[in-house]
Amino acid sequence: MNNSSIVMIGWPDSGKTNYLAAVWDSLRIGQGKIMAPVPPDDLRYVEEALAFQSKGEFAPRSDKNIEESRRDFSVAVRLRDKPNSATADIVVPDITGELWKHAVETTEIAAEWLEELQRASGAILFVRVLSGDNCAPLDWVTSEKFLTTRKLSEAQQKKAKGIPTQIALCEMLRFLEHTLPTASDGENPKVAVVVTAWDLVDAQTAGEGPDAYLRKEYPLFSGRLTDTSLLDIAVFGMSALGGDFADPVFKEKYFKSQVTGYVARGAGNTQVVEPDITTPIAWIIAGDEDK
Amino acid sequence: MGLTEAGKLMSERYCRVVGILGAPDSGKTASLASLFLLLGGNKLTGFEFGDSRTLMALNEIAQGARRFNEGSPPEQMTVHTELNEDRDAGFLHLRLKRIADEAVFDLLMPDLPGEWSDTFIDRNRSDRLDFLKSADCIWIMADGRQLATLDSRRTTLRRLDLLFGRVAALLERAVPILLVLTHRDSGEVSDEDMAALRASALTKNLELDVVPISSFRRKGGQTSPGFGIAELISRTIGAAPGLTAFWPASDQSAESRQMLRFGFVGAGHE
Repeated sequence: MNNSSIVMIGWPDSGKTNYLAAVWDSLRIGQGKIMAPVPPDDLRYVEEALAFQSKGEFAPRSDKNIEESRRDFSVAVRLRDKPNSATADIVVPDITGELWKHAVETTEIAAEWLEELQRASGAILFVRVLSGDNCAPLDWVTSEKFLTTRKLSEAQQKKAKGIPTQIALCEMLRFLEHTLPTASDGENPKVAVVVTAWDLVDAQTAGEGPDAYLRKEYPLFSGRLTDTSLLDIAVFGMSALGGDFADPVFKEKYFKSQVTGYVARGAGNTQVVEPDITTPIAWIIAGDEDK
Repeated sequence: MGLTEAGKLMSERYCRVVGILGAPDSGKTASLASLFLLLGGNKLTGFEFGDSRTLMALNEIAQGARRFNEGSPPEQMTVHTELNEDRDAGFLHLRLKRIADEAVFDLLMPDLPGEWSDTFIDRNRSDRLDFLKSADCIWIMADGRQLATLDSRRTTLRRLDLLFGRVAALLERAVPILLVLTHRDSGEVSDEDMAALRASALTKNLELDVVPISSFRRKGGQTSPGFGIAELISRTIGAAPGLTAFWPASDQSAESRQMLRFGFVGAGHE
């Protein structure tokens, strides 16, 4: 990897900010598979998010300070066990949810994002478990009602034009297919699909793994992930902090630094769960050989 | 998806073109919506979603947000790159993976207004339906309830007979025809009517198979929503020339197929 970038994208409330803040904390402490040789000049984005986490709260997505500081943040990282290798910049394009929605609806994205994606060597695509912003497809009854109603009411029209999360994810993947460049060695660009808030799934779902979770919750997206020949894809279940602040027991352990985030990949007996949340980034940089 | 995009896709990989005909309100749109809802819930027995180049259009159809302009449906298949309030006549694309053998199938299904079928029957207007000549399979949709209702039964049978005749005259080779009887949740079509429909097709040398479906389920309905859709897809795929002996072999290769007067060369197979 040669001074390229890794872009982080996702629908609003998909967990990008809280994940990146936790990654920065991991880099700062000096743990994990990747390291940051030089701290970024502008740390406001992650520091503001970490300020929330340190108080036992997740960083709110609507926080204007965080939104505005995001565009100035990037951090150069490299593999810890290859200290002389080239660095990759982790960047979070300043793409608001509304702009993403517009892009999905019109299949048009602004030139600067396009350039950002065309420069990138890989991407992390975020999906959050149980997000209030997730939009389910219409059910059978509502769909039939809408199909047979001659003129939809304003509220019905709004609902009828909603974009289910799995369709937005499929279209985001299409953007990545068409924009991420193939590496000079001919390898496909890598996309890590990170299912955030993984600690919220029940034990059985956790054991079945994040791929099975996507197949069950977002079958269109799951099918799409297996259909692409232009991208290398791996799916990770991610608990950036190791639990939910709504749980007072976890919260106390977090304050006392007794818990860590973790990442899960695979299913059943072959599932790997490790306390290194930088794993998806390391996978993008080095692939499975350094997993 | 317009003609150019459909052509490009067909030049990249082998696509099965499915012609869909039927009177307005015969259930064409509902069947596509139902198919998409099944895939969205991973409930299309035997298949999984792979991809769609027309994902947003399929979603809008399932959400009732795409409608042909009432009273003045589009005159031609058009290519629109921007979202339009009124629905364009064009192709819908679906790539499905068959779970049993992981075979992948690309379907191109035209999204046509029922009025085009009416004018095909009444005025033999076939110019915009020319693509049927290169179709791998044709669905002829009919509302099963209209066959069960006395004052609409004879008209429905007659219109279907006429449509069979028009289709048979248009086609230059044997194309599998699936008669899709919708609203199966309201009941089965009588044996007598089924025999009449089969006899009608036979006299026109059409290879007819019948698939009852129920795109949705009305209150008190006899079948679940999406009933028969998986079977419809299975038979559509199975109906492709060369894959099964169920249909007579066709002497027209994929390479020489013509679609809407455009030739496509080098289409690959799965």
